[in-house]
Amino acid sequence: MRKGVRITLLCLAFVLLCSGCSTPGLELKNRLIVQAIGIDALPQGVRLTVQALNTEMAGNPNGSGESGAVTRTLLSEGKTVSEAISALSKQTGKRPLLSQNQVIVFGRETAEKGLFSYLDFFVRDPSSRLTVPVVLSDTTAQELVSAQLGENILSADSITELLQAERYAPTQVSQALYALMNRMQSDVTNAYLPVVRAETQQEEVRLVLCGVSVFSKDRLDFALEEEETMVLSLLTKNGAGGYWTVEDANRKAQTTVHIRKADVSMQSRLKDETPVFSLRLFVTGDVVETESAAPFSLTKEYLEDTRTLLKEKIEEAVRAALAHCLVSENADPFGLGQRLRQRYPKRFSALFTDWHAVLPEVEYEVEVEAELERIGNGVENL
Amino acid sequence: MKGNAKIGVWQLCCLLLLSRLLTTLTFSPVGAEKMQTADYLPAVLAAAFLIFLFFVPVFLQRRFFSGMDITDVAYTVSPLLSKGCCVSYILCFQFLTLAAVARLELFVGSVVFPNNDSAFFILLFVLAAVYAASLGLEALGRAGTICLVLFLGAFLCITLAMTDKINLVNLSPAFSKGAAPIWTAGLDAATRTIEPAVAAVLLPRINGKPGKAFAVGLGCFIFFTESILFFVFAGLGDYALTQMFPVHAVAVLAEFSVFRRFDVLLTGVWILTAFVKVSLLLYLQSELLKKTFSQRPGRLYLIFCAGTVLLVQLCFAGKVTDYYFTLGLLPRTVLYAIFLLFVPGVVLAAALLRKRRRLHA
Repeated sequence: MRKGVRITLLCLAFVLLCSGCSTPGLELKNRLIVQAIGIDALPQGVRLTVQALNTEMAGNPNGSGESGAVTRTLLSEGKTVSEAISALSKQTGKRPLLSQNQVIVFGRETAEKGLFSYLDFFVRDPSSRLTVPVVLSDTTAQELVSAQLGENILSADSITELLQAERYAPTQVSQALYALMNRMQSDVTNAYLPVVRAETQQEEVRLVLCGVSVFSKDRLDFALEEEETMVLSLLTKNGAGGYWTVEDANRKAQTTVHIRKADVSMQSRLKDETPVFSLRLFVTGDVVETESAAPFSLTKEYLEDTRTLLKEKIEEAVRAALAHCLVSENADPFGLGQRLRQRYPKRFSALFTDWHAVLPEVEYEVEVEAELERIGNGVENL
Repeated sequence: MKGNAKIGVWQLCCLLLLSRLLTTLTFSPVGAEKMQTADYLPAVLAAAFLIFLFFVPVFLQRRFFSGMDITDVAYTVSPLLSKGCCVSYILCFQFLTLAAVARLELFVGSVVFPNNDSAFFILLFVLAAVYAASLGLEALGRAGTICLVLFLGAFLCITLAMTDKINLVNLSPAFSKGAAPIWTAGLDAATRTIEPAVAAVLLPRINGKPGKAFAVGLGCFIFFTESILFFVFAGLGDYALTQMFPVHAVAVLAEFSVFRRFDVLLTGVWILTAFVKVSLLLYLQSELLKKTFSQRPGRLYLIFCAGTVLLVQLCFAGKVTDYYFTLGLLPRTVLYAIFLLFVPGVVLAAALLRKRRRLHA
């Protein structure tokens, strides 16, 4: 009898736990499932461009099948990001759900003014995931998020697919929200974001990655060249997968090497209060293509020459990227200052109250160890 | 406390370790000492050293008054001192139950059900804890052991999934302001360790020698806390300090292949661990109330203690939310010193003096 009462009470408790299902606001069809958020600053507030799934159409076999029926692009304005998001409810009668958001896009002008005030909401909101990627639009966020890419193609999906390129092509980088915040809040390391643009070719709109921009704190500062981005990837240990082409003047040939493995060792020290960095890069590559006026065999000497040329090319690229960022732009997206501070915490605080002002005086030694392992199936060039 | 049921020394070790690990899981930069992230790692060792010192009264109790809990020790001096000691420990455990429930509500309200009122959840949670506490110490001991295994499983999954996200560059420099912040953070962590009070009351209820279990427990505390903090700060960097619950944030980050949303796993383990801890604290209050007043009300004491917790939490949550954990270091240290060091210290000193006098008489 007593056991029966207990079991009954337990069952009742479980029924009470199902209360979430009875709340209308929590049902999927009543949620605005956000896929991408674009943020553009207005003189008095912010404009959001939101790409959301049309839950009444998605997965409904009786849907009209009209172009774009699966997604909706909504615009809203408010004094703050949270106000603009809540304004979406007024338009749709649904509660926005940010946990499925795939990307946050900022407009160029917004980034030039500073991003902190717009990022705070995403850091604070429990439904927003800290791993969501952040990108910069070459124009406005609205243009990128609302780009009409074709029937039922989400710009959010396209952007995240583009960002996957980082795995295979170190000419691109991606930044998750938490990593971006870490860099923006740091007083020594600069943040960077990939830039995406909507291009129209033969009446067809497509999204393309068009570089990487570096920030000074939360404000857009300058753009990196493609080779500088490859150096950034190498120095942040994401350099594998890149392609480097070297010119052999003696043989009048050029060879493309695919970097299969890449690693970096950064040593920092102080020489008479001047920061000195020793950068040693280790790259292992495969010859993937050769081009020359006349055929020749891929001999040991040729491979040795190619290895030397590759080493020199990467060294030169690293020096050029460091010179541009440290000397010309007073920026440190490579995290050199953080490493020095880890090694000499007290002296760093005492000597370098403004690390960015010191950057032009920083000395660096660059050494590349390159290995060529494979040459593919061809033993002779064509 | 001389109840009939006893638990093994390793079960007590699991319960205490679980209780302390819950405090680590619920670590929040709010109210904690501000410092460089890498300083947290040596601070764990400092905390372990201080925890060892704070357990010294428990060792003395075990050494000189084997088979007695702290209130029995006080009884050897005077029945009035025993009652005072009981009341002090009841207040302490009540306060800690409030703190644990308040922190759970803060977590549930901020992370699990941010758009809903968490009062109903807390009501169900406390009712379940009352039921668990009513089953007695043996049941709690077994539940604690199982819960610790689940905790370790979840911890292993999260650490494995986090391995590729670790970047040592994320750690801000250690010892940049010398050793002082490390000792301060160590004290901060040690004063959140209320397990010596639990051990002082449960000592006569365990089978086996506690020395080895204590050493293993302290070792596990160091290992897990170091690991958790390392993964949090090497994974998230300074961003961790912007989060209300950094350990939960790092679980969000952990994912490999198709396995994602480890934060849900952590949330489950978190609630389960809090359930065991709150049940244990309610059980201890009930047993001490029986000892101080009358045995007759029995389980009504449990309901009374839980009712007080619910009343305070549901009526004053938001106004007094988080109590102990958001207190500054100084008031927390003072409270800790009074209830967990001074009271048992005075009781033990008086009892030892009385014992020596009797031997010499």
